[in-house]
Amino acid sequence: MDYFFLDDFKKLTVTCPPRHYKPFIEDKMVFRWIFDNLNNENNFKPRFYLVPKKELEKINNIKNPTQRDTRICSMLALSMFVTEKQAYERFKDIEDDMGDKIFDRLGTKIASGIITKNDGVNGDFDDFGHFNHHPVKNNNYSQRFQIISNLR
Amino acid sequence: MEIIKGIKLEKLGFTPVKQGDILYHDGPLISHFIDSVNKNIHYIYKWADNDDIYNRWLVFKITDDDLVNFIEKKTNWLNLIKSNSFVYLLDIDDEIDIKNITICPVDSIPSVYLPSENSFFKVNKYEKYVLDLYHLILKKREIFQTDEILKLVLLEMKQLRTKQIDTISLINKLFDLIKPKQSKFPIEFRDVLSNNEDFTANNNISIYERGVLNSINEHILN
Repeated sequence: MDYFFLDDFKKLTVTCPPRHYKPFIEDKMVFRWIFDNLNNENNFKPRFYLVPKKELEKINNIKNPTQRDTRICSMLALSMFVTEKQAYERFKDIEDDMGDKIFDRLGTKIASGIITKNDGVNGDFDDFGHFNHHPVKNNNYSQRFQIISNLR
Repeated sequence: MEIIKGIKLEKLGFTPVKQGDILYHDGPLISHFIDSVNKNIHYIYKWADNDDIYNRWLVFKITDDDLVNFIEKKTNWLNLIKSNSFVYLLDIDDEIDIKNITICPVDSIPSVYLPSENSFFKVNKYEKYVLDLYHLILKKREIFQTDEILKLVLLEMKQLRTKQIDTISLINKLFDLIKPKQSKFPIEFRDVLSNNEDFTANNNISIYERGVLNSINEHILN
């Protein structure tokens, strides 16, 4: 697949995306936390491109290359949820601990979109219905996702 | 960012060493640190706020017991924060350099920085690190408790010895009072006592032993 972050993957010593990541067999509706405006450039940026430079330097200084690159690979994925309810409940769990300011950091809305088998590959779903998604180039998610509910 | 009512500091009074992340979503949200000097002091770093330049972290101190009580759902983050008289607020820039340190009384923490009343521990909500930490503290506590029990037993034993000596001394006095006229010292009994190296090696017990022997001797021979 022509992954969006292929150039980054090539620099890693581990297989990225991991081998067990697979495309969906059929089109699937997925959910993601986003900010108020769908055009916010951070809405579909992976964590790797949002963290402070020094934090990246720290990660790059991890001596074990497998450990380091597995972490970077995970940071190049987009966080998604299987259902709207799971996206909402996970946010509320975090909000309970963090207070109202968490909206500024993680998002204020839930957006949903359809991911097809050609859009990339996906990791396992965890207990919260969260999974990592590695998108392909030209995915155009900011146009394909729609805001469906508020997190506030 | 929120305006903080507090006292600005030049530097922190402790050297934090990160141990692990407790809550993580696209980056750490709550992390655990200890002081590099006093490793029994825990600090919780909770992300609080940000602007274009800084991330602000709310830092508060907790104990082993606080951590255990939190994981056992006997308390929540809100109560743990409020059990301190003050917290630190650290503004950290993109280079992860601390730019501002403010000591803020707990009552002055902006409400938007505080967890809710529902901020209790939930299984699977946190990173695996939390349970590792929990077991580590329990293990530490177990060792400490074993040590404490041993100390108590030793103290009891010491007191018993003292009491035993007192008792024997009293018996000796009683024997002195009685002082029967004719008796014989049982050789076998004396041998048993004097062959016991543990007893004779100890000065206190030698006195005890001597006391017993003398008493019996006087009692029986006189």
